[in-house]
Amino acid sequence: MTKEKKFSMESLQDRQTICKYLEALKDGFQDGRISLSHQDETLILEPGGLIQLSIKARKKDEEIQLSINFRWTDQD
Amino acid sequence: MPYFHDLEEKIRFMVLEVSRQLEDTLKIIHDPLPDLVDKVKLRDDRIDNYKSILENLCFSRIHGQSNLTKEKVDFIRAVNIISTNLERISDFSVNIVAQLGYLSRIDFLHAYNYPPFFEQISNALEEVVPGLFNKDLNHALSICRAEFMVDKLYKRSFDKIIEEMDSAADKRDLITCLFIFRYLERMGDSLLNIGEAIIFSVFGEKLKVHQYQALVESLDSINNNIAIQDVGFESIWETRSGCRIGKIMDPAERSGRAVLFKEGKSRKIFREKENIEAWRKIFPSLVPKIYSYNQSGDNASMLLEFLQGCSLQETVISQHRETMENALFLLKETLSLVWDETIKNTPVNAGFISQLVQRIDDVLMIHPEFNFSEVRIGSFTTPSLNHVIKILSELENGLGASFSVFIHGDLNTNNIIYNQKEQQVYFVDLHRSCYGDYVQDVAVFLVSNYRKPLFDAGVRQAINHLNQEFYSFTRQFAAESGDITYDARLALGLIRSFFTSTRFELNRDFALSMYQRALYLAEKLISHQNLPWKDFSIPGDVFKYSRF
Repeated sequence: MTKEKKFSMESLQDRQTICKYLEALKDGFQDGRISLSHQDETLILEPGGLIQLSIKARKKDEEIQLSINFRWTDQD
Repeated sequence: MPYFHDLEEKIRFMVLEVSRQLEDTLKIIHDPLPDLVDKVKLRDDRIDNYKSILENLCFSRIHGQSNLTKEKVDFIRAVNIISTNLERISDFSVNIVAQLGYLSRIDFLHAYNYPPFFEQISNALEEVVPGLFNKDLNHALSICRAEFMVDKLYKRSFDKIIEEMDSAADKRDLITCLFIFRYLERMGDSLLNIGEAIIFSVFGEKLKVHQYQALVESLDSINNNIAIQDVGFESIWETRSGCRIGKIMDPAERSGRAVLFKEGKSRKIFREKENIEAWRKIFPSLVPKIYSYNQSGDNASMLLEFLQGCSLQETVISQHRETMENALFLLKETLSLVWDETIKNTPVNAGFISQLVQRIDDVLMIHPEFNFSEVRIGSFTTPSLNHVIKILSELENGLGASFSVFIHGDLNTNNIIYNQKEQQVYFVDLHRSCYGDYVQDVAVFLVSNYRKPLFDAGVRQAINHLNQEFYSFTRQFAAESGDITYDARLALGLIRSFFTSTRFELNRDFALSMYQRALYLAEKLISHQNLPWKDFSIPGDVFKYSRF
């Protein structure tokens, strides 16, 4: 069993900077390789084959949440 | 006071037992008779027992009786502190007796001047009962002074032993003697706690002996004829700054004439005194009058005019919109006058980032997770905390204000007093006032509102409104003054205040919201660094709290 690797980050952004993050992810999907690094640890993801995409949004009073989720299995 | 009969009786016995313990310890030093050594050990068990009984009595009195007056509760608390410290003195006696067993010969100790220690401690113990039961501050002070004397004696013995250390044939005996003197010195510390407990039982406030003495001196220096026991002292804690602040009420005046007593490190108190005097030359009515200033060693104290009113923060929390608007209006008017009056063409750099660096360890001690490293998502990179600080420091060097004004220096919303009747605001806590960048006051003000951990929608709305209005007002002043780097400097000031405020906030989500704002502004500034600063603007939402 391989060790679980994780990457997570949390920050405050505006529309302009959100686009930079999305661009970086978009480039990763396009190249079939998304590299995520944090604290000397790098996680390389290679999205390929069929990818499950879910987009969820919720709006309650002033609070809005939009979540985008990608799931896939590694290709052998 | 029949109610306290059992407490009184037990504490009297305990003092007597501890005094005997001390007498016997001295006898053992002269002649270590085994029977006497056993007696001291047995008596220590009895004293421990007294301490437990008194502790039980104290707690059961406090919790078992309703309608206890504060005075009674304070007395019980003082008794508990005293019994704990008496028990310690007895423990130290036992420790001394045990140490004697390590000496190669008992008369080794006789070459040192130990009797005055015992004399000081015994005399002080004799004052405990009259001090406590007659509420006599002279006895309390005398007990506190014993600690000072014992410390002096210890210093002499310590120096002598250290001097002899090089040439001594048996260093073990010397070290044992040092341990014995150290136990005597610690008895002095316990006496100080006992003396301060008596002061507490009289005053109803925890005052260190030097604070009490400063208070007496301050009142004396304004020719106050009130007996110190009759002075009402209401503590206003200021834990962050390390100063002791209290409101003193004159019992002779029913209307409640009050003065403010402030005691702390002399460097800080003296600076505040000088700043108040500077403010009084510019705007006499804006700051409190100084009635007296006294300095003693490293500490100093002041008696200040007690300004009537409430803090600006209280007007926000009260959610009385009209009052808050009025207070804000007065603050804006006051700042306009101060800034117009004191403006100088002297460039100044507030050094926000170096202020941040000074406090960074305190922040990371509470929130170690804030020390982030570089993050890379494909080709997109965000720098580490160290790197962000380095870039901001460089960037700040070229971002000073082109003019300076006399600033408050810590324009926390708590440091602004609003008096509705007089239609005036006052400034307090002025030890950081100087000619500086007004943006420092703006940033501190905005973040002091933001960081109030109140999450009621109405209060947050009021805070957001206050911040928005204040920001618009200051931005207008900047525009009128031709201050084209205002927003960029404000971003630096907000980064500093948001980041450093997290060290007082244990609510992780709320601390995170401040930390993320600091980082967001940092990223904005960094991405703008090659563009003209006049085009940089603060995103309006950044000092508004929103719950995600």
